[in-house]
Amino acid sequence: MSIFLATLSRGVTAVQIWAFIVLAATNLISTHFLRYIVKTYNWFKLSIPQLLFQSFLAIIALSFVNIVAQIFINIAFGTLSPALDFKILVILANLFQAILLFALWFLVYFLVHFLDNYNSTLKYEAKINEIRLNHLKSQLNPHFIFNALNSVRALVDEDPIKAKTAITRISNMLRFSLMMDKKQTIEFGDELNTVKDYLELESIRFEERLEVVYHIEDESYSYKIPPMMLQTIVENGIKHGVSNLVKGGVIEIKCREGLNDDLYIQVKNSGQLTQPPSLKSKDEQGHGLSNTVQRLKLIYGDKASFRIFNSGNQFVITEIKIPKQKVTFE
Amino acid sequence: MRAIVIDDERLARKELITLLNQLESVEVVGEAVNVDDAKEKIDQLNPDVIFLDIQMPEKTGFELLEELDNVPHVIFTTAYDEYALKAFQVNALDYLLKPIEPKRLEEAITKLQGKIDGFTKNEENPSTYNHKKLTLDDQVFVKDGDRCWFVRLSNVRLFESDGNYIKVYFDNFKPMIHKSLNALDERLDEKSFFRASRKHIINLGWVEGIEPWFNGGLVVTLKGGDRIEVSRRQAARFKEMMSL
Repeated sequence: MSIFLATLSRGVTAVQIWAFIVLAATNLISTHFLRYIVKTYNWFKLSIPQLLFQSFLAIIALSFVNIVAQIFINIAFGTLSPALDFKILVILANLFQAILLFALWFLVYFLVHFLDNYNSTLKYEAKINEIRLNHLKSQLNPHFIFNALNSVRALVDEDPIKAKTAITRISNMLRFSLMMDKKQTIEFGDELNTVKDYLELESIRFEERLEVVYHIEDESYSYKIPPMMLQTIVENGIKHGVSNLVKGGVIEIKCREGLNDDLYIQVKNSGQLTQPPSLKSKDEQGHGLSNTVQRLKLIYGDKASFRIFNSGNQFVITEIKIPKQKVTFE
Repeated sequence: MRAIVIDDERLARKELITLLNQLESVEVVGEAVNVDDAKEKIDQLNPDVIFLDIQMPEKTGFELLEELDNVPHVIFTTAYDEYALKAFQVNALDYLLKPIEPKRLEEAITKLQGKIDGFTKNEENPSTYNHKKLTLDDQVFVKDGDRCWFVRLSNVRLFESDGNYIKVYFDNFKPMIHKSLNALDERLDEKSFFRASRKHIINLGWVEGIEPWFNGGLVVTLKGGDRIEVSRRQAARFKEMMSL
């Protein structure tokens, strides 16, 4: 570069062009060497101050190498003019130029690298979130499906009309769970219909042991909620509550709008929590609630909430709050 | 073959009973809706086989088996329960998946019939069923963590009390059951089992050697090498029994 600049003032000769090319090659080799060093010693993992310090040392060292190389190239091509090139001022100017040059190289190199890295990290995180959400999505519980089919088999003889309705309900639920697979949120009404189908089917199984009560405010239907979430909560109420009681019990679903454009969904079921269900780790008891908590967090951030608690010594209440707007990615 | 169907759901019971009624070799003598009900019915009706649902309110099917002194043959039924399925497979237990396939049910019954026929040939005195003592041909159900066994009492060489539990020694296993040794002692047939001391009941069929011990006691060696001390008080009774 310095030769290139110098030549501009002196006029170009063939020898100077060759000297220039050789110098360019030297610089190419030295920056490649630098890249090799950066990669082998994994400078990307260094802290910023350490990185700056090491880069600074490297720039100084390279610049000296560059100056020395310039001098040797000039000697080799006979373009050295000792009177001009060995002046302190010229050497310092050349050094400064080289430092600037390498500093620029470092800046561009790391900038490109970090941008690239940042970009892929973002993509990676979005992908991970998506995978996580898919994983968390509740699926129809096979135990329920097979039990329902078993009841229907008995119903075929006993009450063919009821059996037909039950088959329709089962197919509704299967279709719903297949179609909702790819969606993050769905209309409240669609979810509620599935829950109703589900509870009707469980009523066939449990007969007089299951009583269902709904209190749904009309405003609820203007909300969107994550598919199969209410379903999971109701299923839990049955599995860990009502089905464990010899005499059976109640499932009560209440949905109302809060003051700040949010939807409160409350499921009350007979039974008691004997130990606080673990909401964070994977629960071996299969409460499936930790999934619900994580899903809410992934979709709504901190704007949604989840609670489960004993209400008196007869009932358990599970409550979720969902904001009108989604927070995270579409 | 006399059967009891145990399931908390009426329709599930009805479905299974309908299927069983189509088979000539099976007679459904009763049905039960939960574990306590089942215990009562089993004691009363003494079935050859029970069809047992695992998931029932308050107590599971496994818990029923652990509470029973004398366990009939069991065919488990479940819709889909990963834990139970694993237990069935690990322990090679007979099970049927609901909705039950008639052909599978028939196979299970045929297999069980073979087993029962094998038993009754060995049994010289079938009337032993009537009095309530447990004989060598009776089986108990033992569960220890994930593993469970139906153990014929003739294979049990030793019961050892350990706090509120009893260790049951058979083959290479010694799982625990939650029972008191005194209660068990009363249920066991004294012709086959002997209360050696406060801590031990031994199976007389497994006795290999007898040596005198301090203070007029005895030490009994069982097949397999376990050595059990017989207390002085019991030693006299033991000698009396063995000399007969």
